[in-house]
Amino acid sequence: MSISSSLGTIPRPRKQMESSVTTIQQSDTLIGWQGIRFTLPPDWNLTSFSLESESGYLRVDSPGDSGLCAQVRWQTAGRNTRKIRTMYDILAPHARKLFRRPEPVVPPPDLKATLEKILKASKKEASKSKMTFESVIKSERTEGVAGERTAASFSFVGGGRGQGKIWHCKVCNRIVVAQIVGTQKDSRAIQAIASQFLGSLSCHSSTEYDLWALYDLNVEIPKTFKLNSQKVMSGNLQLSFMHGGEMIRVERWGLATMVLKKFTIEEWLRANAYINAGKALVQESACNEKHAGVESQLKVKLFDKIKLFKLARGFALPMASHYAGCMWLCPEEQKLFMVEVLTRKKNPELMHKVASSCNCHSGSSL
Amino acid sequence: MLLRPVHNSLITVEEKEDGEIILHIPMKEKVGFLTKLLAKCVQLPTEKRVELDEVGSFVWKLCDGSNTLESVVQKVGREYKMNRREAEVSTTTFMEMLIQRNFIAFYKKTRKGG
Repeated sequence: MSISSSLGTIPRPRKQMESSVTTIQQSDTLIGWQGIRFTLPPDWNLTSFSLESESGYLRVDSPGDSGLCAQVRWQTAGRNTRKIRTMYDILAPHARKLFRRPEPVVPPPDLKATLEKILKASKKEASKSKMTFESVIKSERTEGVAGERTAASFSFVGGGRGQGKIWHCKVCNRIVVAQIVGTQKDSRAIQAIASQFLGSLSCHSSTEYDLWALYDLNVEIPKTFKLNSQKVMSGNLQLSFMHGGEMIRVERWGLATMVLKKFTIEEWLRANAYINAGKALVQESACNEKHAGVESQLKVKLFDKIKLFKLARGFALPMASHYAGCMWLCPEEQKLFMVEVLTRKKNPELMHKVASSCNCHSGSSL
Repeated sequence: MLLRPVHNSLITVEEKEDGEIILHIPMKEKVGFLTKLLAKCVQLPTEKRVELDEVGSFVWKLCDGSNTLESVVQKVGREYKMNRREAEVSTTTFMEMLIQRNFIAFYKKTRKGG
Protein backbone atom coordinates (compact mmCIF):
# COMPACT_ATOMS: atom_id res chain seq x y z
CA MET A 1 0.00 0.00 0.00
CA SER A 2 1.38 3.38 -0.87
CA ILE A 3 0.53 6.55 0.97
CA SER A 4 1.17 9.84 -0.74
CA SER A 5 0.53 13.22 0.79
CA SER A 6 0.24 16.76 -0.40
CA LEU A 7 -0.53 20.09 1.20
CA GLY A 8 -3.57 22.19 1.81
CA THR A 9 -7.28 21.59 1.95
CA ILE A 10 -9.18 23.53 -0.65
CA PRO A 11 -12.68 24.75 0.16
CA ARG A 12 -15.25 23.82 -2.42
CA PRO A 13 -18.22 25.83 -3.63
CA ARG A 14 -21.49 24.22 -2.47
CA LYS A 15 -23.04 24.30 -5.97
CA GLN A 16 -20.48 21.86 -7.33
CA MET A 17 -21.08 19.50 -4.45
CA GLU A 18 -24.85 19.41 -4.98
CA SER A 19 -24.62 18.91 -8.71
CA SER A 20 -22.29 15.94 -8.48
CA VAL A 21 -24.54 14.19 -6.00
CA THR A 22 -27.74 14.59 -7.97
CA THR A 23 -26.53 13.46 -11.39
CA ILE A 24 -27.24 9.76 -10.78
CA GLN A 25 -30.48 7.88 -10.60
CA GLN A 26 -30.90 6.61 -7.05
CA SER A 27 -31.73 3.07 -8.11
CA ASP A 28 -28.46 2.63 -9.97
CA THR A 29 -25.30 1.49 -8.22
CA LEU A 30 -22.82 4.32 -7.99
CA ILE A 31 -19.17 3.39 -7.50
CA GLY A 32 -16.49 5.95 -6.69
CA TRP A 33 -12.94 4.93 -5.90
CA GLN A 34 -9.59 6.75 -6.31
CA GLY A 35 -11.12 9.30 -8.71
CA ILE A 36 -12.71 6.56 -10.86
CA ARG A 37 -16.46 6.92 -10.97
CA PHE A 38 -19.22 5.00 -12.76
CA THR A 39 -22.75 3.69 -12.49
CA LEU A 40 -24.09 0.18 -12.96
CA PRO A 41 -27.55 -1.38 -12.70
CA PRO A 42 -29.07 -1.72 -9.19
CA ASP A 43 -27.66 -4.22 -6.69
CA TRP A 44 -24.23 -4.60 -8.30
CA ASN A 45 -21.58 -4.69 -5.58
CA LEU A 46 -17.93 -3.91 -5.27
CA THR A 47 -16.11 -7.19 -4.61
CA SER A 48 -12.45 -6.38 -5.20
CA PHE A 49 -10.40 -3.20 -4.98
CA SER A 50 -6.87 -1.96 -4.47
CA LEU A 51 -5.81 0.88 -2.21
CA GLU A 52 -3.24 2.60 -4.43
CA SER A 53 -4.12 5.63 -6.52
CA GLU A 54 -1.16 5.37 -8.97
CA SER A 55 -2.29 2.02 -10.29
CA GLY A 56 -5.13 -0.18 -9.22
CA TYR A 57 -8.00 -2.50 -9.91
CA LEU A 58 -11.73 -2.55 -9.25
CA ARG A 59 -14.18 -5.36 -9.74
CA VAL A 60 -17.93 -5.05 -9.37
CA ASP A 61 -20.10 -8.17 -9.55
CA SER A 62 -23.70 -8.51 -10.63
CA PRO A 63 -26.21 -9.83 -8.09
CA GLY A 64 -27.03 -13.54 -7.91
CA ASP A 65 -25.29 -16.19 -9.98
CA SER A 66 -25.34 -14.46 -13.38
CA GLY A 67 -21.53 -14.25 -13.53
CA LEU A 68 -21.43 -10.79 -15.09
CA CYS A 69 -18.82 -8.43 -13.76
CA ALA A 70 -17.37 -5.00 -14.44
CA GLN A 71 -13.61 -4.57 -14.20
CA VAL A 72 -11.59 -1.37 -14.20
CA ARG A 73 -7.81 -1.24 -14.23
CA TRP A 74 -5.86 1.99 -14.18
CA GLN A 75 -2.25 3.11 -14.17
CA THR A 76 -0.54 6.47 -14.21
CA ALA A 77 1.15 6.83 -17.59
CA GLY A 78 4.58 8.17 -18.46
CA ARG A 79 5.87 9.48 -15.15
CA ASN A 80 8.22 7.53 -12.90
CA THR A 81 9.02 5.04 -15.63
CA ARG A 82 12.71 6.02 -15.71
CA LYS A 83 14.51 4.70 -12.69
CA ILE A 84 17.15 6.86 -11.01
CA ARG A 85 20.44 5.51 -12.30
CA THR A 86 22.76 8.44 -12.85
CA MET A 87 23.57 11.81 -11.27
CA TYR A 88 21.67 13.44 -14.17
CA ASP A 89 18.45 11.68 -13.10
CA ILE A 90 18.83 13.15 -9.60
CA LEU A 91 19.86 16.67 -10.54
CA ALA A 92 17.75 17.28 -13.68
CA PRO A 93 14.39 17.80 -11.94
CA HIS A 94 15.96 20.28 -9.47
CA ALA A 95 17.74 22.18 -12.26
CA ARG A 96 14.49 22.36 -14.24
CA LYS A 97 12.71 23.76 -11.22
CA LEU A 98 15.52 26.27 -10.53
CA PHE A 99 15.71 27.58 -14.10
CA ARG A 100 11.93 27.28 -14.59
CA ARG A 101 12.30 24.99 -17.55
CA PRO A 102 9.29 22.88 -18.56
CA GLU A 103 9.16 19.17 -17.87
CA PRO A 104 10.31 17.06 -20.85
CA VAL A 105 7.44 16.08 -23.09
CA VAL A 106 6.34 12.51 -22.38
CA PRO A 107 5.18 10.74 -25.54
CA PRO A 108 1.55 9.56 -25.39
CA PRO A 109 1.28 5.93 -24.33
CA ASP A 110 0.78 3.27 -26.97
CA LEU A 111 -2.77 2.18 -26.19
CA LYS A 112 -2.88 -0.47 -28.88
CA ALA A 113 0.24 -2.17 -27.56
CA THR A 114 -1.08 -2.08 -23.99
CA LEU A 115 -4.40 -3.53 -25.06
CA GLU A 116 -2.79 -6.24 -27.19
CA LYS A 117 -0.74 -7.28 -24.18
CA ILE A 118 -3.93 -7.63 -22.10
CA LEU A 119 -5.77 -9.55 -24.81
CA LYS A 120 -2.77 -11.81 -25.35
CA ALA A 121 -2.95 -12.80 -21.68
CA SER A 122 -6.68 -13.55 -22.09
CA LYS A 123 -5.93 -15.59 -25.23
CA LYS A 124 -3.37 -17.62 -23.32
CA GLU A 125 -5.96 -18.35 -20.61
CA ALA A 126 -8.51 -19.39 -23.24
CA SER A 127 -6.03 -21.66 -25.02
CA LYS A 128 -5.32 -23.44 -21.72
CA SER A 129 -8.94 -24.53 -21.63
CA LYS A 130 -8.76 -25.38 -25.38
CA MET A 131 -11.14 -22.62 -26.47
CA THR A 132 -10.83 -20.35 -29.45
CA PHE A 133 -10.23 -16.69 -28.76
CA GLU A 134 -11.14 -13.83 -31.04
CA SER A 135 -10.80 -10.14 -30.36
CA VAL A 136 -11.64 -6.95 -32.22
CA ILE A 137 -9.95 -3.61 -31.53
CA LYS A 138 -11.56 -0.54 -33.02
CA SER A 139 -9.47 2.41 -34.18
CA GLU A 140 -8.43 5.11 -31.74
CA ARG A 141 -10.48 8.30 -31.46
CA THR A 142 -10.54 11.44 -29.38
CA GLU A 143 -13.38 11.94 -26.91
CA GLY A 144 -14.32 13.75 -23.69
CA VAL A 145 -15.45 17.28 -22.90
CA ALA A 146 -12.34 18.99 -24.28
CA GLY A 147 -10.99 16.05 -26.23
CA GLU A 148 -8.93 14.96 -23.25
CA ARG A 149 -9.25 11.24 -23.95
CA THR A 150 -7.65 9.10 -26.63
CA ALA A 151 -9.74 5.95 -26.60
CA ALA A 152 -10.19 2.63 -28.35
CA SER A 153 -13.04 0.17 -27.89
CA PHE A 154 -12.57 -3.56 -27.95
CA SER A 155 -14.50 -6.79 -27.63
CA PHE A 156 -13.54 -10.44 -27.31
CA VAL A 157 -15.08 -13.91 -27.41
CA GLY A 158 -13.41 -17.02 -26.06
CA GLY A 159 -13.69 -18.60 -22.64
CA GLY A 160 -16.16 -15.83 -21.97
CA ARG A 161 -17.34 -12.70 -23.66
CA GLY A 162 -16.34 -9.13 -22.99
CA GLN A 163 -16.74 -5.59 -24.20
CA GLY A 164 -14.69 -2.67 -23.07
CA LYS A 165 -12.64 0.40 -23.70
CA ILE A 166 -9.10 1.58 -23.12
CA TRP A 167 -8.17 5.24 -22.94
CA HIS A 168 -5.51 7.69 -21.90
CA CYS A 169 -6.66 10.88 -20.21
CA LYS A 170 -4.54 14.00 -20.64
CA VAL A 171 -5.99 15.63 -17.51
CA CYS A 172 -5.20 12.91 -14.95
CA ASN A 173 -2.53 11.16 -17.06
CA ARG A 174 -4.07 7.76 -16.41
CA ILE A 175 -4.45 4.80 -18.72
CA VAL A 176 -7.77 3.17 -17.91
CA VAL A 177 -9.00 -0.20 -19.14
CA ALA A 178 -12.64 -0.92 -18.40
CA GLN A 179 -14.65 -3.93 -19.44
CA ILE A 180 -17.81 -5.90 -18.83
CA VAL A 181 -17.17 -9.62 -18.80
CA GLY A 182 -19.70 -12.44 -18.85
CA THR A 183 -20.34 -15.85 -20.31
CA GLN A 184 -20.86 -16.65 -24.00
CA LYS A 185 -24.66 -16.46 -23.73
CA ASP A 186 -24.65 -13.03 -22.03
CA SER A 187 -23.97 -11.04 -25.22
CA ARG A 188 -27.14 -8.90 -25.04
CA ALA A 189 -26.77 -8.19 -21.34
CA ILE A 190 -23.10 -7.32 -21.84
CA GLN A 191 -23.96 -4.86 -24.61
CA ALA A 192 -26.68 -3.16 -22.57
CA ILE A 193 -24.63 -2.88 -19.39
CA ALA A 194 -21.45 -1.87 -21.24
CA SER A 195 -23.18 1.12 -22.80
CA GLN A 196 -24.32 2.37 -19.36
CA PHE A 197 -21.05 1.50 -17.64
CA LEU A 198 -18.65 2.89 -20.25
CA GLY A 199 -20.85 5.94 -20.84
CA SER A 200 -20.86 6.87 -17.16
CA LEU A 201 -17.21 6.07 -16.44
CA SER A 202 -14.92 8.97 -15.61
CA CYS A 203 -11.32 8.76 -14.47
CA HIS A 204 -11.04 12.06 -12.60
CA SER A 205 -13.20 14.55 -10.81
CA SER A 206 -13.63 18.05 -12.24
CA THR A 207 -13.87 19.55 -8.73
CA GLU A 208 -11.39 19.63 -5.85
CA TYR A 209 -13.16 16.66 -4.31
CA ASP A 210 -13.12 12.96 -5.19
CA LEU A 211 -16.21 10.84 -4.86
CA TRP A 212 -15.88 7.72 -2.72
CA ALA A 213 -18.91 5.52 -3.16
CA LEU A 214 -19.28 1.88 -2.21
CA TYR A 215 -22.31 0.04 -0.92
CA ASP A 216 -24.42 2.73 0.77
CA LEU A 217 -21.54 5.02 1.67
CA ASN A 218 -21.34 7.93 -0.73
CA VAL A 219 -19.09 10.80 0.29
CA GLU A 220 -16.80 13.41 -1.24
CA ILE A 221 -13.29 13.89 0.16
CA PRO A 222 -10.75 16.59 -0.78
CA LYS A 223 -8.34 15.28 -3.42
CA THR A 224 -5.38 16.15 -1.24
CA PHE A 225 -6.39 13.45 1.25
CA LYS A 226 -5.28 9.98 0.21
CA LEU A 227 -6.88 6.72 1.27
CA ASN A 228 -4.94 5.31 4.20
CA SER A 229 -7.01 2.40 5.39
CA GLN A 230 -10.39 0.79 4.86
CA LYS A 231 -12.69 -1.62 6.63
CA VAL A 232 -15.39 -3.18 4.49
CA MET A 233 -17.52 -5.46 6.59
CA SER A 234 -21.14 -6.45 6.49
CA GLY A 235 -22.76 -3.78 8.64
CA ASN A 236 -19.69 -1.61 9.08
CA LEU A 237 -17.80 0.44 6.50
CA GLN A 238 -14.88 2.67 7.35
CA LEU A 239 -12.65 4.77 5.11
CA SER A 240 -9.73 6.66 6.54
CA PHE A 241 -7.84 9.34 4.61
CA MET A 242 -4.54 11.02 5.50
CA HIS A 243 -2.90 14.20 4.33
CA GLY A 244 0.34 14.86 6.12
CA GLY A 245 -0.51 14.73 9.79
CA GLU A 246 -4.19 15.41 9.15
CA MET A 247 -6.94 12.87 8.88
CA ILE A 248 -10.53 12.42 7.69
CA ARG A 249 -12.39 9.30 8.77
CA VAL A 250 -15.84 8.33 7.51
CA GLU A 251 -17.74 5.45 9.01
CA ARG A 252 -21.14 3.87 8.48
CA TRP A 253 -22.98 1.30 10.59
CA GLY A 254 -25.98 -0.69 9.49
CA LEU A 255 -28.77 -1.95 11.78
CA ALA A 256 -28.89 1.41 13.53
CA THR A 257 -32.13 0.66 15.34
CA MET A 258 -30.47 -2.27 17.07
CA VAL A 259 -27.46 -0.16 18.08
CA LEU A 260 -29.70 2.61 19.39
CA LYS A 261 -31.64 0.17 21.56
CA LYS A 262 -28.54 -0.25 23.69
CA PHE A 263 -26.75 3.09 23.29
CA THR A 264 -27.64 6.70 22.74
CA ILE A 265 -26.14 8.38 19.70
CA GLU A 266 -23.85 10.43 22.02
CA GLU A 267 -22.56 7.26 23.68
CA TRP A 268 -21.95 5.65 20.29
CA LEU A 269 -19.99 8.71 19.12
CA ARG A 270 -17.86 8.70 22.28
CA ALA A 271 -17.25 4.95 22.04
CA ASN A 272 -16.23 5.02 18.38
CA ALA A 273 -14.39 8.35 18.12
CA TYR A 274 -10.84 8.06 16.78
CA ILE A 275 -9.51 9.86 19.82
CA ASN A 276 -10.35 9.19 23.43
CA ALA A 277 -13.52 11.26 23.89
CA GLY A 278 -14.25 9.97 27.40
CA LYS A 279 -16.29 12.78 28.94
CA ALA A 280 -16.14 15.23 26.05
CA LEU A 281 -18.99 17.64 25.46
CA VAL A 282 -21.28 16.26 22.77
CA GLN A 283 -23.90 18.68 21.50
CA GLU A 284 -26.76 18.50 19.06
CA SER A 285 -26.07 19.87 15.61
CA ALA A 286 -27.35 19.83 12.04
CA CYS A 287 -24.72 17.52 10.62
CA ASN A 288 -25.85 17.85 7.02
CA GLU A 289 -28.82 19.21 5.07
CA LYS A 290 -30.85 16.06 5.58
CA HIS A 291 -30.34 15.07 9.20
CA ALA A 292 -29.70 16.44 12.65
CA GLY A 293 -27.24 14.61 14.85
CA VAL A 294 -24.55 15.27 17.42
CA GLU A 295 -21.07 16.68 17.19
CA SER A 296 -18.04 17.12 19.38
CA GLN A 297 -14.93 19.27 19.12
CA LEU A 298 -11.83 18.55 21.16
CA LYS A 299 -8.13 19.13 21.44
CA VAL A 300 -6.08 16.10 20.51
CA LYS A 301 -4.16 14.75 23.49
CA LEU A 302 -0.58 13.51 23.38
CA PHE A 303 -1.52 9.80 23.37
CA ASP A 304 -3.78 10.28 20.34
CA LYS A 305 -1.09 12.34 18.61
CA ILE A 306 1.30 9.41 18.97
CA LYS A 307 -1.34 7.13 17.43
CA LEU A 308 -1.72 9.54 14.51
CA PHE A 309 2.07 9.91 14.17
CA LYS A 310 2.37 6.13 13.74
CA LEU A 311 -0.28 6.19 11.00
CA ALA A 312 1.43 9.03 9.14
CA ARG A 313 4.70 7.03 9.42
CA GLY A 314 6.42 9.97 11.05
CA PHE A 315 6.68 12.05 7.85
CA ALA A 316 4.15 14.66 8.79
CA LEU A 317 5.09 16.95 11.62
CA PRO A 318 3.41 18.85 13.18
CA MET A 319 0.58 16.44 13.86
CA ALA A 320 -3.10 17.37 13.97
CA SER A 321 -4.10 18.99 17.23
CA HIS A 322 -7.83 19.60 16.74
CA TYR A 323 -10.57 17.03 16.52
CA ALA A 324 -14.10 17.51 15.19
CA GLY A 325 -16.50 14.65 14.79
CA CYS A 326 -20.19 14.33 14.07
CA MET A 327 -22.64 11.47 13.94
CA TRP A 328 -26.17 11.22 12.66
CA LEU A 329 -28.88 8.65 12.18
CA CYS A 330 -30.46 8.21 8.78
CA PRO A 331 -33.85 6.73 9.72
CA GLU A 332 -34.78 6.12 6.08
CA GLU A 333 -31.88 3.71 5.65
CA GLN A 334 -31.55 2.65 9.33
CA LYS A 335 -27.89 3.59 9.29
CA LEU A 336 -25.55 5.60 11.49
CA PHE A 337 -22.95 7.82 9.86
CA MET A 338 -19.88 9.39 11.43
CA VAL A 339 -17.46 11.93 9.98
CA GLU A 340 -14.30 12.85 11.89
CA VAL A 341 -11.57 15.28 10.99
CA LEU A 342 -8.26 15.77 12.76
CA THR A 343 -6.59 18.96 11.65
CA ARG A 344 -3.66 21.16 12.63
CA LYS A 345 -5.84 24.26 12.90
CA LYS A 346 -9.37 24.30 14.23
CA ASN A 347 -11.41 23.46 11.12
CA PRO A 348 -14.94 22.18 11.85
CA GLU A 349 -16.00 23.55 8.43
CA LEU A 350 -14.14 20.70 6.77
CA MET A 351 -16.13 18.21 8.83
CA HIS A 352 -19.40 19.93 7.89
CA LYS A 353 -18.44 19.97 4.19
CA VAL A 354 -17.64 16.26 4.18
CA ALA A 355 -20.80 15.49 6.20
CA SER A 356 -22.91 17.59 3.78
CA SER A 357 -21.53 15.70 0.81
CA CYS A 358 -22.49 12.39 2.40
CA ASN A 359 -25.51 11.22 0.44
CA CYS A 360 -27.01 8.80 2.94
CA HIS A 361 -30.40 8.52 1.22
CA SER A 362 -32.42 10.16 -1.51
CA GLY A 363 -34.82 13.00 -0.68
CA SER A 364 -34.84 15.35 2.30
CA SER A 365 -36.13 14.86 5.80
CA LEU A 366 -34.99 17.90 7.80
CA MET B 1 -29.92 -20.09 -3.38
CA LEU B 2 -32.90 -22.35 -4.12
CA LEU B 3 -32.33 -24.47 -1.03
CA ARG B 4 -34.86 -24.15 1.76
CA PRO B 5 -33.69 -23.92 5.36
CA VAL B 6 -35.74 -25.80 7.91
CA HIS B 7 -35.48 -26.04 11.71
CA ASN B 8 -34.29 -29.11 13.54
CA SER B 9 -37.52 -30.53 14.94
CA LEU B 10 -35.84 -31.52 18.23
CA ILE B 11 -35.25 -27.87 19.11
CA THR B 12 -37.97 -26.08 21.07
CA VAL B 13 -38.42 -22.35 20.74
CA GLU B 14 -39.37 -19.78 23.35
CA GLU B 15 -40.30 -16.28 22.21
CA LYS B 16 -39.62 -13.32 24.49
CA GLU B 17 -41.92 -10.30 24.76
CA ASP B 18 -39.72 -8.24 22.44
CA GLY B 19 -39.92 -10.92 19.74
CA GLU B 20 -36.41 -12.28 20.33
CA ILE B 21 -36.07 -16.04 20.42
CA ILE B 22 -34.48 -18.49 22.86
CA LEU B 23 -33.65 -21.91 21.46
CA HIS B 24 -33.75 -24.93 23.79
CA ILE B 25 -31.47 -27.62 22.44
CA PRO B 26 -31.72 -31.06 24.06
CA MET B 27 -28.40 -32.51 25.22
CA LYS B 28 -27.29 -35.95 24.08
CA GLU B 29 -28.03 -38.80 26.47
CA LYS B 30 -25.07 -39.61 28.67
CA VAL B 31 -23.20 -42.73 27.74
CA GLY B 32 -20.75 -44.67 29.86
CA PHE B 33 -21.06 -45.92 33.41
CA LEU B 34 -19.11 -43.13 35.10
CA THR B 35 -21.05 -40.35 33.36
CA LYS B 36 -24.35 -41.96 34.25
CA LEU B 37 -23.23 -42.32 37.86
CA LEU B 38 -22.10 -38.71 37.95
CA ALA B 39 -25.41 -37.61 36.43
CA LYS B 40 -27.24 -39.30 39.32
CA CYS B 41 -25.08 -37.52 41.93
CA VAL B 42 -24.96 -34.10 40.29
CA GLN B 43 -27.88 -32.65 38.37
CA LEU B 44 -26.54 -32.17 34.85
CA PRO B 45 -28.42 -29.88 32.48
CA THR B 46 -30.65 -31.63 29.99
CA GLU B 47 -30.67 -28.82 27.45
CA LYS B 48 -28.66 -25.92 26.12
CA ARG B 49 -30.12 -22.43 25.76
CA VAL B 50 -29.15 -20.19 22.87
CA GLU B 51 -30.46 -16.64 22.78
CA LEU B 52 -30.78 -15.06 19.34
CA ASP B 53 -30.73 -11.32 18.77
CA GLU B 54 -33.33 -9.41 16.76
CA VAL B 55 -31.91 -10.22 13.33
CA GLY B 56 -31.13 -13.80 14.29
CA SER B 57 -34.69 -14.28 15.51
CA PHE B 58 -36.04 -12.79 12.29
CA VAL B 59 -33.96 -15.22 10.21
CA TRP B 60 -34.90 -18.17 12.47
CA LYS B 61 -38.60 -17.49 11.94
CA LEU B 62 -38.04 -17.56 8.17
CA CYS B 63 -36.33 -20.96 8.35
CA ASP B 64 -39.61 -22.87 8.33
CA GLY B 65 -39.11 -24.71 5.07
CA SER B 66 -41.37 -22.41 3.07
CA ASN B 67 -38.70 -19.86 2.14
CA THR B 68 -35.73 -20.39 -0.12
CA LEU B 69 -32.35 -19.00 0.91
CA GLU B 70 -32.79 -16.38 -1.80
CA SER B 71 -36.09 -15.18 -0.34
CA VAL B 72 -34.62 -15.13 3.20
CA VAL B 73 -31.81 -12.88 1.92
CA GLN B 74 -34.32 -10.60 0.21
CA LYS B 75 -36.53 -10.36 3.30
CA VAL B 76 -33.58 -9.61 5.60
CA GLY B 77 -32.36 -6.92 3.20
CA ARG B 78 -35.80 -5.34 3.00
CA GLU B 79 -36.49 -5.47 6.75
CA TYR B 80 -33.13 -4.10 7.90
CA LYS B 81 -32.42 -1.83 4.90
CA MET B 82 -29.28 -3.74 3.97
CA ASN B 83 -28.05 -3.77 0.43
CA ARG B 84 -28.10 -7.06 -1.43
CA ARG B 85 -24.47 -8.01 -0.77
CA GLU B 86 -24.57 -7.15 2.93
CA ALA B 87 -27.78 -9.14 3.43
CA GLU B 88 -26.35 -12.09 1.49
CA VAL B 89 -23.09 -12.18 3.44
CA SER B 90 -24.62 -11.77 6.89
CA THR B 91 -27.48 -14.24 6.28
CA THR B 92 -25.32 -16.97 4.77
CA THR B 93 -22.69 -16.58 7.52
CA PHE B 94 -25.37 -16.89 10.19
CA MET B 95 -26.89 -19.93 8.46
CA GLU B 96 -23.50 -21.61 8.16
CA MET B 97 -23.20 -21.24 11.92
CA LEU B 98 -26.65 -22.77 12.47
CA ILE B 99 -25.83 -25.67 10.15
CA GLN B 100 -22.53 -26.42 11.91
CA ARG B 101 -24.46 -26.74 15.17
CA ASN B 102 -27.20 -28.86 13.52
CA PHE B 103 -29.86 -26.27 14.36
CA ILE B 104 -31.14 -26.18 10.78
CA ALA B 105 -30.85 -28.24 7.62
CA PHE B 106 -31.37 -27.45 3.96
CA TYR B 107 -33.61 -29.31 1.57
CA LYS B 108 -34.36 -28.90 -2.09
CA LYS B 109 -37.89 -29.09 -3.37
CA THR B 110 -37.96 -31.43 -6.33
CA ARG B 111 -40.70 -31.77 -8.92
CA LYS B 112 -42.95 -34.79 -8.75
CA GLY B 113 -41.23 -37.65 -10.53
CA GLY B 114 -38.05 -35.60 -10.80
